[in-house]
Amino acid sequence: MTRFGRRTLLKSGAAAALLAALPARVLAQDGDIHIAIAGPMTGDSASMGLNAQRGAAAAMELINAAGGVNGRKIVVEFFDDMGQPREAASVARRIVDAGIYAAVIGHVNSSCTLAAMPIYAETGLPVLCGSSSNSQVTESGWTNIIRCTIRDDYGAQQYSAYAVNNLGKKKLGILFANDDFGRGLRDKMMTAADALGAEVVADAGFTPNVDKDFSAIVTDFVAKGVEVFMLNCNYTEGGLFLGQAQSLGVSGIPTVGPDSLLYNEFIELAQGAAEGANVLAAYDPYSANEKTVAFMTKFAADYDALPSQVAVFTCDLLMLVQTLMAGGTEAPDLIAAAKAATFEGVGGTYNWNEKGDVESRTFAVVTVKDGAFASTGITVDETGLEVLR
Amino acid sequence: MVYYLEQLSNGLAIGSIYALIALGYSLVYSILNLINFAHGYVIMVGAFVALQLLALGVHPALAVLLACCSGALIAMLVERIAYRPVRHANRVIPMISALGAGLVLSAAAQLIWGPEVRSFPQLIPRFPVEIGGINLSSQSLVILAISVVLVVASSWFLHRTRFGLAAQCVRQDMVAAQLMGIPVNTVIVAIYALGGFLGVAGSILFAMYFNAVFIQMGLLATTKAWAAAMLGGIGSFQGAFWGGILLGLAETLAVITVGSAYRDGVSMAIIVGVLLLRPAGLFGTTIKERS
Repeated sequence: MTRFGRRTLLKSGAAAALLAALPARVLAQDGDIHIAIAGPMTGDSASMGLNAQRGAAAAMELINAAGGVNGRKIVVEFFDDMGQPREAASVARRIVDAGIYAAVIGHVNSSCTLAAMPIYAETGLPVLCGSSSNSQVTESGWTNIIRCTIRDDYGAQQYSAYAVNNLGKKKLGILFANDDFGRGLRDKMMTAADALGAEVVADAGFTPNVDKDFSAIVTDFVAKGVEVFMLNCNYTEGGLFLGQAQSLGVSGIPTVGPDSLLYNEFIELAQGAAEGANVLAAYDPYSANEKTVAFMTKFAADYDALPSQVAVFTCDLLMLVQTLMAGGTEAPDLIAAAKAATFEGVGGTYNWNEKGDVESRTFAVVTVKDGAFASTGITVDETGLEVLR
Repeated sequence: MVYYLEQLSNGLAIGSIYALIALGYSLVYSILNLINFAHGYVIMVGAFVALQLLALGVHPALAVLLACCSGALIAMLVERIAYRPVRHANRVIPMISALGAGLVLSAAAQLIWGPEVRSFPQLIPRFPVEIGGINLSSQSLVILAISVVLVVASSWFLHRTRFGLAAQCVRQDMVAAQLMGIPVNTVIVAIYALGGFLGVAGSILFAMYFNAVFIQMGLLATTKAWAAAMLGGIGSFQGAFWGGILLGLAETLAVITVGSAYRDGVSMAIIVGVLLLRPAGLFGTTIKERS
């Protein structure tokens, strides 16, 4: 009987591993375009990862219907960063080392994008980022990234300007996530409020995904004479906050918040108290734009849900890759080509500047009317913000 | 003054929910001296089951009852799979295996129901009730009442019934109890089942109060209720109740004084302070073990 020595086993094992690795390389050379989509598929922000998957599915349907990129297939693979910077770095390392990806779409959380970027920058792998709004994402000198969402420093000014100029309120109460991102945003909103002659009379931090009780904060805000609730949070916290305020007998105080509130759950969780809330969205989900209407209708039919910003931007970025590559752009030149292009997507028109930020995009003001989101067509009155620029 | 009274009522409302969940921990700990870290996850699954049944159009009362039974069933499974095989091992091991069972439950729940926060139907109507000039939510009054009733009922059950006495014998000496003819396995399973049943009742009230059911509820319930149980004296039902109420009040106090961002830090510091002075918790008694 032949006995396999350890060495033989090792050799055959190595050979098998090589064989297993080969098809991927061969396929890549064959002409399939591999795109890595990185985001939190599990963990506390898993719902954003779910939206990335749904947005990608919508885009893939359109891309396949159009026959891919001049006959080449686009293949997407999902990478889970769990919403944690540490995981994001290791995901980035895996994507870069695989060597088969034409581009990365992601990450979602700013902290993850910031942790992963130095690794992508090593090889200049194109990074098409949807929803990371931290200003550092495009201020750190990386030339291989563009993003779709509006920067948080610009956004913070807009939130305050809307409360002060559009709503005419002078006493702001800010609810913020007690992390780097949330505190940074609060500080920028305070600076903007100061410049506009208003005052932040109360602010309260909460631990994201942990705190569910906002009653003490509501009581505190009301006692300090807050005239407008600035909800810097996700739909869960926002909805709970308003629902709890209502059951404490608080009414008549308007709400301003970012598009992380733009989920049907926000309205459900608020139990009627979300009526009239002002959501400042980085894209207008209810615009009459043909692409937007088609996407929204299909998404509602497929998942019985509103697409979040992550879904919209993931879809648009995949379509962008298809459009550019079908036009003859090679993968390494994607970012440069995107910066030179004007792209019409589900989320409206995108123009990217040299840093990779979207230019001349403003917030769309969405409100809650009769228990459903509706576009208002209002634009944010930016009077008084010039001194900050 | 009204401000402080309103904050007091906020603290009482959240505190009574902590108390309700802490009760489940104390129940298992009082018999087995085991921190059942799977408890929070069991009751999270129970809340999702209730939501699912309600969505299927089951009558609310029946849905709640069935969800509580599912909690009992899952708790029994956890006992059988993760606890019984390691019952006689070092005390740390069942603790770890319970935590593992909890993570499995949490992952399974995410696969079935998805990661989103779901809203929960308001089975008890919710409106502001004015008592002496301060606003209380109708729900928090009901929850407070239910907590008190359950604390009293559990104490009665454990101290006044034959089953309760048998359970106490199991606590004092498992081997001797077995020799005396007490069906130890049955008693332990029943305690787990009861903990799961009451726990789900608590988590449904929790879900209703916050109008939210979510996967991380398991971890939230674990950390807060565990802290409440420690504060009150783990293993004591009265302790669980007062521990929960005090934790709720401490959190509210933290919001008033140093701001909500430091809520958990301050409330945990208070607990550490209490435990330094009274290591067994406010209502705990130290049981001397035979050497």
